[in-house]
Amino acid sequence: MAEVYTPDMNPGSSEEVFHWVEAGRIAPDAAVQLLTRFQSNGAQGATTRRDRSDPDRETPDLVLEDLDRLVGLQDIKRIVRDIRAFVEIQQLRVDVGLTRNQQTFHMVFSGAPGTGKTTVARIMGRLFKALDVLPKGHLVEVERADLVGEYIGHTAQKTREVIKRALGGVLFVDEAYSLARGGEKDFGKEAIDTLVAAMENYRDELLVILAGYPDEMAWFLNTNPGLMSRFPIRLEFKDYSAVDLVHIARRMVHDRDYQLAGDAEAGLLRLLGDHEGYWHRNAGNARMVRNLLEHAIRRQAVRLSARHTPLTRHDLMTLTWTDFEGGLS
Amino acid sequence: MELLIVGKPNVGKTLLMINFAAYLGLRELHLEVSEGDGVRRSQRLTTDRARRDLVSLYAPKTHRMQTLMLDQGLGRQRVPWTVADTMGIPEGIAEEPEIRHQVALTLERLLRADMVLHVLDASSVGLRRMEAPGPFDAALAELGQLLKGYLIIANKMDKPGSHEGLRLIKERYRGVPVTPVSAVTRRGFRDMKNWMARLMG
Ligand SMILES: Nc1nc2c(ncn2[C@@H]2O[C@H](COP(=O)(O)OP(=O)(O)O)[C@@H](O)[C@H]2O)c(=O)[nH]1
Ligand SMILES: [Mg+2]
Repeated sequence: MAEVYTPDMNPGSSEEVFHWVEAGRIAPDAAVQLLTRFQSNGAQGATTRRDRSDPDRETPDLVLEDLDRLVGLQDIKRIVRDIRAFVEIQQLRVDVGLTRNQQTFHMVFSGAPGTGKTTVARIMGRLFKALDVLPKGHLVEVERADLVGEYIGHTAQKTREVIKRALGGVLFVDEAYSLARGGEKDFGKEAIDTLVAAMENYRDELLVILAGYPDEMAWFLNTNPGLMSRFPIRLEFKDYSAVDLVHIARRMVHDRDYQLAGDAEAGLLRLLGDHEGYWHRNAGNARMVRNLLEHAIRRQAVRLSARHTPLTRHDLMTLTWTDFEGGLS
Repeated sequence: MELLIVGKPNVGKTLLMINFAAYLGLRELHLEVSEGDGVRRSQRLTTDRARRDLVSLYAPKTHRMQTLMLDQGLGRQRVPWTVADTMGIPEGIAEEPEIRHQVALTLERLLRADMVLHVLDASSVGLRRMEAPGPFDAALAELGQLLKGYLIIANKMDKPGSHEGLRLIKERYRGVPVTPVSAVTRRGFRDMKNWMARLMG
């Protein structure tokens, strides 16, 4: 579980694996491998138990440790801690007979791709499960195409299907603003309405997170004033600084059993610093780092195989700046 | 109780279901076919008709899950049970959304089923054919260890090359129970039945 910040292949539940298969993100053999993990963790079958004495249940502290391991995200870490405190105090109030402050936790995550939104969303699900707010805490990640259909009634049906899958956990709608782009006549509107209705009906069983680029999300909420009050928690995911990105690179490299030579770190810092603000918008940043690494790993192999001297363990592990130079070409 | 039959396309899942039903003495099959969106179509047909309509060379491949309803279990309890015949799982990410949907559905049912028969074509091991055991089968054999009731069926044992295939299968999936079967000659059906009866209690 080292790769907490590379969310792509780290599903939170078997439901998520099924969803990825449907979405064409993974092949059946990979899906079966992922399911094997859940089966052996006994994470399966942990369906609607709300029993606090369940031994293999995660504690909030454990979940927050994973959050702390993420690079950067200082403001977000603080807000998540505040949420935890709030929930626990409300529970204590109930325990001594005081009224609970009804609170909705639906959220808006604004930030560029690759800034950690999905990773934090997944942690949020786990936290809410650990805190007994959600029965399952799994994450179902969708986008417009998963919700919006082709004819009248189709959208409501598709959206309800998705909601059904997310019940007990977190529904994460990526690029959520695209639901409002088509205006009044667009089926996106129907998806929003269905979603809002479900949030009412399944008050204690669903956490909805709307995510997307900051500007677009601001516009989305402004054009849908009804949504503002329904999504009271707003988290802003800032672009990573060049230093953060190098830090991320170092961890990713480590997880793959490689290391960065000194010149590679310096070079990366320069490269990522030069591009700050330039590729953030579209290329996504933690993701960009991963792509850079994958290219470098391939180039290192080419470089080493052309050599005629024996290769040491150190050679095999080390990525030098020459492996990175030239970026993604 | 549910028995789920899974495997790659063309390994003989459908024929296995039909001929095993016949072996149990059924003359008419009661099949429920899911049409998507929760709609199920109920169908009754004789085993001969089923063979012709569902597995002959001209029959369309199974593209939706079909469930055979059986009223009497094999164990002492004699509880009703079902046999789910699934769409063949292709290697790789399928282009067609409907296929991916069926794959997801099958995997979901797999985790819930009480008994799983994982069918391999013993006559095609190592050949470059769609039905030859591949990465999906290897992964499933791993997962199978963690399921309640899981058995590998080495099918088509009547065909040339199947004995060598069986040997390779046993070697490749060491430690996993394998039963050699021919859905055509019904060899191995008794072993299959005993295995099920044991699990049904
Ligand atoms: N020789 C032989 N052929 C078989 C056997 N089982 C299935 N077949 C043939 O393999 C083909 C595919 O069978 P089918 O049941 O449709 O496979 P499915 O795609 O796994 O459901 C058909 O032509 C069957 O007649 C068997 O045990 N022996
Ligand atoms: Mg079939």
